[in-house]
Amino acid sequence: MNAKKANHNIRHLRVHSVLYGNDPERIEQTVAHLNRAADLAISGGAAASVSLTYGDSSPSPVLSSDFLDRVRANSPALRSVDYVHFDGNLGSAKGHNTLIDDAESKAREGVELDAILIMNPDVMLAPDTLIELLRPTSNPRVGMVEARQLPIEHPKEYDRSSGETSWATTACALIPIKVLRELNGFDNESFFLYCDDVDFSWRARLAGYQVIYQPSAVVFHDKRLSKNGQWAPTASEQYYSAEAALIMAHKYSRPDIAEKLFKSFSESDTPHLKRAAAEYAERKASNRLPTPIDPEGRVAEFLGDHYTKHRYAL
Amino acid sequence: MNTYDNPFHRDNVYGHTLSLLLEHSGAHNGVHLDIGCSYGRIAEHIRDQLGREYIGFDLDEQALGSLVERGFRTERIDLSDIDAAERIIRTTIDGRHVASLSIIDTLEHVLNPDAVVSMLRRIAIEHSAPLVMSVPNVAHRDVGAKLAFGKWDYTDTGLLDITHLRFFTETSVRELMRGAGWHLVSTKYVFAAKSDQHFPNLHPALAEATPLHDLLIGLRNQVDDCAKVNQFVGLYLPGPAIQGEAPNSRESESKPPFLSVITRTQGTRLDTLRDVLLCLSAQSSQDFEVCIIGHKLSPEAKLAVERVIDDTHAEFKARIRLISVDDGNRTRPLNVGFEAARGDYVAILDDDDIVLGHWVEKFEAVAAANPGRVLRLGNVAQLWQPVHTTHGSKTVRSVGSPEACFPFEFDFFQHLVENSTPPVSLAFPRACFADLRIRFDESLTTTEDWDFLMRTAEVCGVASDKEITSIYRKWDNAASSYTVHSQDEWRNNHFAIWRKLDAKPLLLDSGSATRLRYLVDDWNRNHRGRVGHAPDPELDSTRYENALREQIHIMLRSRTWLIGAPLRLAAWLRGRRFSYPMLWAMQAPQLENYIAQIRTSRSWRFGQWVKKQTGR
Repeated sequence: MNAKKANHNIRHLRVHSVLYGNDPERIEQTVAHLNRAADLAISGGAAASVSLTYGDSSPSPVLSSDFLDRVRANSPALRSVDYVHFDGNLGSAKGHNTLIDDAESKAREGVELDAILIMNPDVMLAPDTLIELLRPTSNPRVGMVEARQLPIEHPKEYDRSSGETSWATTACALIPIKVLRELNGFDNESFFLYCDDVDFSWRARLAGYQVIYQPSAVVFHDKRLSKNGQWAPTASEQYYSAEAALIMAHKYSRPDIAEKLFKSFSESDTPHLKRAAAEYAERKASNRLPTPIDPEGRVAEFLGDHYTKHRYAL
Repeated sequence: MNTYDNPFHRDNVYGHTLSLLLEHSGAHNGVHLDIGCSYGRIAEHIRDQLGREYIGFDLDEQALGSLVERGFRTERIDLSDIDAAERIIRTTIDGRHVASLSIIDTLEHVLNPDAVVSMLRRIAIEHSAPLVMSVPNVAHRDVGAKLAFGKWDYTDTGLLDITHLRFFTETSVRELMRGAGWHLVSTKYVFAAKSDQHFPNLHPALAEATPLHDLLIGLRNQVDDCAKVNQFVGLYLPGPAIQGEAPNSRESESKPPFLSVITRTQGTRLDTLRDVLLCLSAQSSQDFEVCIIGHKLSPEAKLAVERVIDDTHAEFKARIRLISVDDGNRTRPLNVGFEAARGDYVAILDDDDIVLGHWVEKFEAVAAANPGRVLRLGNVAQLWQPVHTTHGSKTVRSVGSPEACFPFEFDFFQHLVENSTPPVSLAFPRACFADLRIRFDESLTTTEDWDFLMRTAEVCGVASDKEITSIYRKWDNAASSYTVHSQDEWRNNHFAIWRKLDAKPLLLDSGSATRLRYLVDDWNRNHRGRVGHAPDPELDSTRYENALREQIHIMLRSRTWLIGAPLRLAAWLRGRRFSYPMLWAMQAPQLENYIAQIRTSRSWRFGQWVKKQTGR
C-alpha cells in the first residue's frame, strides 16, 4: 500500500452508519475492521483521526451502553464511537442527513471534520481501504469515492484509468464535507431507502464534481446469491427500489420513463410493485414530488433497470 | 520344547537384534544384559560375534537353567518388583562396563512396561549403553482385518499370546520409549506377510484374492508401513526423558477449530490474497484458523505476504499461520497445509477465490447433519481481470455474470469421468488426512484436488448442499493454472487419475447399485435393443410411474380398446363420457387403479372377447 500519495487536505474522517435491527456481534466485527483500517491510515500518515457514529432507526436501541464501552475500549484507533437512537425509522437518506447535522454541530464546536465515510452497518473494511479511498481525493474536483464490494461486486461500469463512474453506492463511499454542504446532503424528501446515493452522485456531477470508483479500496458487504447465481433482492428491497425508480425518472426530467414504469407497476401482479405505483400516484396528487432537474440529460442515464451501463447482468 | 524356546535365525527377532547391536555397538566391550531372556538362544551369538559376556535375567527358572547348562551366567528377576529387579541387576554388573542391553518380546508380558524401561535407562545411562527392544505389533493387518469383523483369537504364543498384558502399535512403542528417556537410533522390524493370526485362511478379509482384502489392505497400507510388521525391533540410546505428549499429539491442545483454511500463495497475487483474507475475517462464523502456505517465496515476496497478514486486525491475525514450503510442485503445499491443520475439517481456499459471508457457517451446518462426510456447497464461477486505476493500487475487477458452471449435487459417477467440483466448494474431514493418511499425490502437477476428492469421497461419502457460498474466479488477461500448465500436462494427469481409480476396488455409497443398474439398462436399451426389467415401485418410483403411464397409453391405443368403442359410444349417449386421463398428474396408486379399471371395464372385456373369438 502506498500512503504517501494520499491527500493531505482530508485529515479528519467521520464514519456514519445507520442501523436497523442489526446483530450487535456483527457490528462488533465491523468495528474491529474499521479500527484496524483507521490504525493503518493514521500510522501511514493518510489521516489524522477517524471517528465513528451510529444512528439507530430500530424501534428499540440495538446497542447497549456496555456494548459501546467494550467497543470503545477495543478500538483505540478510533477517536470516538458515538451512538444516536433516532426514535423512529428515518430510512437511509434522512438517517444520514441527521448524522451529518450532528457532525456539523460538533464541527461548529471545534471538532475537526474533513470528510464523511458513509457505510452500511454490515460492511467490513479491508486493512488498507481508508488509505485507498483517500488517494483520489488529492484531486479537489473529486466529490465522492466509492469502494469495491466483496463478495459480489457492483457491476456498473467505470473508467479503467480514472475510475470515474456515473454514480456511487453509499454501501461504502467517502464524501468530502464541503461537497455535502454544497449539495445540502441527501434528498430525504424524495428518497427513503434507495437511490438517494444515485441522486446525490448525479447532483454532485451536475455541480462539476467527479464520482470515482476505487477498485483497490475493498470492503466486504455480506450479500448472498440465489440458487441460480443471481443476486436476490427481498420484497421490501424491490418495493423501495420501484418507488425510487419512479421518483428518479420524474426528478431527472424523464416523464416518459416515469409514465412507462408507473403503467407497468400499476398493471403488475406483484403486490409491492402495485404499492409503489400507488405511493407515487399519491405523492403526485399531493404535490410531494421533487422539482425536475437536469432537463438536458447531462448526467442522468436510464438504461433499462439501471442508472448507468453495467458490465454484466447480476 | 518350552513355549518360549525359540531358535536363533538371521531373519527373526534374535537375528535382527544381533544385527542392530553389530551395526551400532560393535566396538564396545563389556557385558550384555538380556532382560526377559527366556532360553536366550541369542546368547552364543552375543558372546561369539560381539565378544561380550552375556548375562540373562528372567523369572522362568527352567529357561535360566538351559542357559546355565550352556555356560552362561543368569539371574532370576521378577519385573513386577522393579526395585528388587534393579538391585539384582546392579549387583550382577558388579562394577563392570555394560556394553549393551536387550529386552526382547518381554514388555508385553508385564503390567508396568514404562517402569521397566525407565529402570533400564537408569542403568544404561551410567554406561552410555544402547538397548535393543522388541514387542509384537497388535496392528498387524491380520489382527486388524479379523477384529474389524469381530474376531480376536488368543493363541499360546505370537501376536495375541494369551499371557500378553499390554499391546503395542508403532506409535505407542515410540511414546513409551520417549517417555522413559530412550531415543530411537535405528529399527529393524520383523515382517510377516502372513502372521500367526492369518486364520481362517479363507476369511474374506484375509484371503489374498478377495476385493474385500484388497480394499482393507489398500487403506491399511496408506496409513503407515507397519501393516506387515510382526515385531517392532529398535535400538535406542539413553538420554533425557521427554515428558508429556508426543510432538504430533493434539490431545492436550486447546479445543481445535471447526475448520482449517489452507491458502496456497506464491506471493504474486497480493491484491487477491487481501480479498481472500477480508472474505475470511468477515465470515459470520469465526470458528476457523488460516494456514497460508507460502510456496517458494522469495525473501521479498515472503516479506510482502507477512505484511498483508500483519495488516489484518489482531484477533484475526492470531488465527493465521504463514508456513513456508520451498520444494515440490503446487501439490506439496497442500500436504504441508493439511499436516499443519488443527481443525476438524480442512478447506482449500486459493489466494484468488472468493467466499460469501456464510461459507464457514454453512459448512458447520452441513457437517452437523452429516458427520464425517466430505462437505460440498454450491459454487459459481465468474470472470475477472486485472485493473489499475490512476489513483489506486493494482487490483482486479469482475467482468462477467456469476455462472453456475458446476453441478450443485455431487455425483460420484460423473466424477469418475472428470472433476466438476472446484476445491473452494469442499471441506474434508481432517481425519482422512491425519488418520487414514490420504495424501495429495505429489506426482500430479494439476488436478491433484480431483484425485484427493475421489479418494476421500469414496471412503467418507459426500454431503452436498446447493447453497452458493463461493465464487471460483476465472481470469481474463491474467495467469492461472490453466495458462501455466500445458494441455498435454492436464491430459496426462487426467489419465493418471483414471489409472489410479482403476487399480483398486471402488467403494460405492448406498444407492449406487440403482444408479449403475440405470446406466447398464440405458446402455442395453440404446446399444442392444434390450428392454430391461420392470422397475421396482419402491426403489425406482419415478421409472415405475412412467412405466405405468406408458402401459395405460398403450392400452388406450390398443386394438382391444378400439373394439370396445361402440360400447363407450353407448355409454356416452347415456351421459358417461370418457376422456383421455391426465396421466402426468397421476401418481402410482392412481395409475395402478386406473389400469385395474380399464381391465375390468366392459369395453376392455368386450374387446378381449372379440379378439378371442376371431383368433386375432
